[in-house]
Amino acid sequence: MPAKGPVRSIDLLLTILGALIGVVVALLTDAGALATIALLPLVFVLPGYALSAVLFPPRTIGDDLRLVLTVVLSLAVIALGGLVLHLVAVLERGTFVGLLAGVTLAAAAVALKGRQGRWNDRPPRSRPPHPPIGVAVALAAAIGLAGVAIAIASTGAQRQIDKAHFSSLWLVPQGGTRVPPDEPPVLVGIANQEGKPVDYRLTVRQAGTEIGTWRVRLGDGREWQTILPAEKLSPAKTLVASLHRFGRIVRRVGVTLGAPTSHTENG
Amino acid sequence: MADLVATPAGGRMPRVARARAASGRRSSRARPRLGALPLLLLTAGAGLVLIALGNNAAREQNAGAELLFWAGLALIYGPIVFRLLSTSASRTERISLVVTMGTALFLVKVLYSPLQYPPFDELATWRQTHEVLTTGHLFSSNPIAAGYPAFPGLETITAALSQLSGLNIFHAGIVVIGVARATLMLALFLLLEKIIGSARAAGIGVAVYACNPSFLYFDAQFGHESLALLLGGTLLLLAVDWVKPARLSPRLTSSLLAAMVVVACSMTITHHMTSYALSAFLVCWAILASLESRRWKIKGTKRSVPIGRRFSIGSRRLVRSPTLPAVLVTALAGGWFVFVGGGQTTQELGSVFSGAADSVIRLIFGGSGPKTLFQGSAQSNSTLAQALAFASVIPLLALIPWGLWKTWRATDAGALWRSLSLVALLYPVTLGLRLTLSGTETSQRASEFVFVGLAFLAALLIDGLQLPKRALARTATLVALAGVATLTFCGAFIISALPDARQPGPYLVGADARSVSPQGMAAARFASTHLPTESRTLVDRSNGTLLGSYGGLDQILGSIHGIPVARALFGRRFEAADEKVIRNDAIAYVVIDQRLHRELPNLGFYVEPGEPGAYTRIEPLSRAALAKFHVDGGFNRIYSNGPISIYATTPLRYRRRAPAGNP
Repeated sequence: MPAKGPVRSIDLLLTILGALIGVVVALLTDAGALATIALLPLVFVLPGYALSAVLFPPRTIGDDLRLVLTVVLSLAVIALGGLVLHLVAVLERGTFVGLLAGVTLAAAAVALKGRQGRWNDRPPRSRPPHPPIGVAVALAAAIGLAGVAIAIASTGAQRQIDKAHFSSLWLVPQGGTRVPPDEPPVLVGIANQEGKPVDYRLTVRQAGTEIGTWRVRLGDGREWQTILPAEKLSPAKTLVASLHRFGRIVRRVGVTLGAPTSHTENG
Repeated sequence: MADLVATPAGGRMPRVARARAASGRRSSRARPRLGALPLLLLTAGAGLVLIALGNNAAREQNAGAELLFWAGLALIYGPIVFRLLSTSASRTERISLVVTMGTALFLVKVLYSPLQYPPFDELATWRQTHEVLTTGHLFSSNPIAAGYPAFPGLETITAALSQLSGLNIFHAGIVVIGVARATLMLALFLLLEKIIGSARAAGIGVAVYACNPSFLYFDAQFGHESLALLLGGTLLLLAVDWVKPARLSPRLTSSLLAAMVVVACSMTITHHMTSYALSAFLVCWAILASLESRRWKIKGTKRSVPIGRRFSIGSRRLVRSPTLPAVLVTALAGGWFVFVGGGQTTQELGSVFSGAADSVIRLIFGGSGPKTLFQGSAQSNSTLAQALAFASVIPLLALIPWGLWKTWRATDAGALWRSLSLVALLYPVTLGLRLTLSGTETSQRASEFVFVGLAFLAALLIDGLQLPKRALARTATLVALAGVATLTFCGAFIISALPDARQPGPYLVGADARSVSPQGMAAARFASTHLPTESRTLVDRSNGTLLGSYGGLDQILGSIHGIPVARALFGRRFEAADEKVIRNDAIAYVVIDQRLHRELPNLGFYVEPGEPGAYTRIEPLSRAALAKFHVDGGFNRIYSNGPISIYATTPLRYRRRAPAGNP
């Protein structure tokens, strides 16, 4: 005997369940594999499927067209919903979850109501055949090969990045009302991207006067910085920072601190 | 309306199509098997591994890099197209194959740059998405690409996925575009199947569509068009359903209309060019359908239609003809242009089209000679590659007169067939545009639309070919056809991308993706942490894109009071005009990359296409030009990592002006 009512709408019930799971996961976790797996359907599948169920009852379109509409309508819900919502709210996680879950649940409810009592006299649809095991294995192997390819490419790209060995030095005034600022205090900093720990010597001078010298051992990929307080610095004089490595200067930066002049800048 | 085959423009479906549709459905019911799919999945995977190895070899400048790359591409495309050409594959297998092909070719783009987006377009979209994530609002200005803020569809979707899943923008963008690509393959298949009425023809058509020069990289990038193509394809699919003669219930008619409205709205807010191209196509289809229906009416009644009524459109005809989709798309695209994105669209596309038109006029009237094909400012293709590129165009050109003859001569061919064949007719025009420097971009951007027509013609003609009955001869024919298709696919890629842009490799000057270096990334990170966001910055294009996206600065382009901004970087000395640029344009930072003097820029320009000397330089920038920024000259050198230095212009902009009369 054919099943009745909601049993035939198992697809919509699963859609509702998926949306609810998505909401719960969104409330419980911000990121990670669980969030990605649980919320991907909420972005790409569930709203579009529910909407396509409202617009096109079963058997009015083919499964392949429904698949296209499922993805496209899901994307459309986000694009158009985001456009409307940004006029009245900030587009953040809660806004998107509310939009997608709301549309999914509302559309699924409408589709469920539309299906009530419609098919009881019709024979159940035969189950689609499962793909042969060989195809499933080949698909898994192909996904594995694609993963290997991405891993190879990522390793190669990272190796190319790691080949570049350099040190960075900066001297950035922090004070004053001008943009960019040009008055004390001044931030001085070093970054090591030499691929190994490095011993640096940093000297800062102003008009021949040494402001300070620092010996810094920095690990690869690490930064060091300090503030040169205003009381140590004179206005309208050039401040020069030199970064030494193996006894020679490898980087030099310099700034002229704010001179007491009239503003001539346009705007 | 399930599985109904559409007829062109609501008219009669061609006899051939009806027969194919019936046989296709019979065969798909009789043989629900996946045939060679497992094997072809593995060959596609193996092709990707070869490409990854080839790219790594290119990064290390090892021998065999190109060979591995081309072998990988051929391994993905060739076997699949061979199977699509065969007559024994089931419909399900064909669908699986086109999706596999589209996805694998999308991953080729991912393998090019697997860790971060390369400049230019993708970082512009990155910046726009970043703005959505940080501000929670759309339409923020974009210093990298002025037209992007007005079309926030892709950025909204990516931001939503990023917010929900915790993926960063790079990974979220890959997922969005990957899903869009796979779905586009299915949508194109269904579209061609509905139009021609044959699953085999649809598979062949999708394979030919993949030969468009933009398919491999441009349409796989994190860009508006990559998503909009799916929306446009789906809209066309719905429009084909809309005009078919099957009697639909009022509810299904409303549903189709609602779906078209939703998809058309999404496309309108996602990409300008796709909306305009689809609008133009639908208008063409509507006009041909209208003319055709009147012709049938005249033939049927054997009396002429009064002149006054020839151009009137009855309400019923309007409702079930391509006119309504055409009006819908045109009205939406026009409305969005007028009320939202007109200025930015004109700014972005205006220069592209006006440049193309100008260069074509100058070419025709002898104002300038043609550009050297297959050659950039600092690189060129090998003779073999050039020969392959030329050869790849021939089969496509040959299809056009044959297809036009077939579609326009057949008495029962509909307006849709004829409209698509007219689209294919644009292909030689786009090839002609490639003879000019400015027209090349227009040609490239038109290819994904023009190839819908070519794919249709190819599918129609190749599917209609009588194959030999003997198995060996039949296999040889299919191998030959697959070989030609593979050469066409590879040749199209040669046409679209110069050698240095096909694979990753060592740093190059002015070469977008190849100009991204760890030093550039370090400078962008520094700017992001230590400099005020949206500070106005004078910088070359590649570093400007990095600083504009990851760094949060705004690259300044164009001219101020008639002085090109970029000139401040080029002169050997810092002159009064350069100072005016810095002062009047309120430029806060100047970023100098000492590597710019090494060679001519790969793209033909350092900062922007309109800069002084663009495309015509015969020498790279001088060292002196890059060394003229120093503390004594009014610049604070606030950052240096070796090749890249950042200068603050505060002393120059705020220093006391010299008394009048003194320089």
